[in-house]
Amino acid sequence: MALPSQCPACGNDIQVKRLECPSCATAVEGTFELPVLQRLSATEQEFALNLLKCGGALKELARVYNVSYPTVRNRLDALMARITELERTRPE
Amino acid sequence: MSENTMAQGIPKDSPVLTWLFNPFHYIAGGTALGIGLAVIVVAGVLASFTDSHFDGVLDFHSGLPAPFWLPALEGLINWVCMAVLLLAAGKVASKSRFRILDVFGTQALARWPGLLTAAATFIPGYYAQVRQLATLNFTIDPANAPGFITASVVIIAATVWMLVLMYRAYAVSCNVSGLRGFVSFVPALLVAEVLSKTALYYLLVALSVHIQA
Repeated sequence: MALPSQCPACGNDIQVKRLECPSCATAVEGTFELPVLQRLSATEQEFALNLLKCGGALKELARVYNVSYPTVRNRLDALMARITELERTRPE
Repeated sequence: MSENTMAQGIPKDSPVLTWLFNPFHYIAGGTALGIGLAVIVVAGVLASFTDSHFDGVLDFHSGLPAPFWLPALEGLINWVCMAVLLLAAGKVASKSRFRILDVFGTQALARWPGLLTAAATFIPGYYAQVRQLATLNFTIDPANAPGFITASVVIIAATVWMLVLMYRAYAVSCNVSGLRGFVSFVPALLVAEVLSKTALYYLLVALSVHIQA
């Protein structure tokens, strides 16, 4: 099951309260914020992953998505803005 | 679908509507440039058979005989004027980096409804009525009326369609949308219209082309 990044009830960002070792069952409890990449939507994470797989080549990425170069360029700009926004609004 | 999703380049409409009103989602750069330039030239040559002209970025008029190459040249001048002005507008309005090739390529492809405009002038009745109007006889011949009206509707619709495509091309190639996109597009369009008219006038003078009424 994929780790959710937003509350299914109210839509706010969620935090990790408990981590557990599946081997020895040791549990660590606290308030852990999700890393920025994990707080992206599934579509945004997939885009970022594909960008890395293409070695950062937008022309190659455009071929993967079967769209034009400026379309992936614009999508990348939106992703950069989203990451900047998430970093700026990082919970204390 | 949210504005944020649109900004990421995911089309809101169905693929068919996207191809019709925002083909730049799929095609840009050199491919768009090649197709667009071919369409501009073919539309111009077609228009020359019915004494029609693309005499301005958004203009289309019929009734003045001219060399067969002139409407194609007019189309190319219109494209260059619009692309140069939108390139300048994009430099001011866009926060993103963009390629000049995409601006010129998508603006060329955006002019493809000009092909429909030129083709519409072949609807029976249109050219006969245009020739009659050229003699300053402003009555509509009933025999020509259906074709003339149909062609006029197609020409107006294709021109509006081209305008929509020009804006979408600008929005995609320069990554501007919303109020910022609209406010930067309209002045560029108006200046491009004036610039294209002026350029066409001086071109005709320089080439000593005489258009006969």
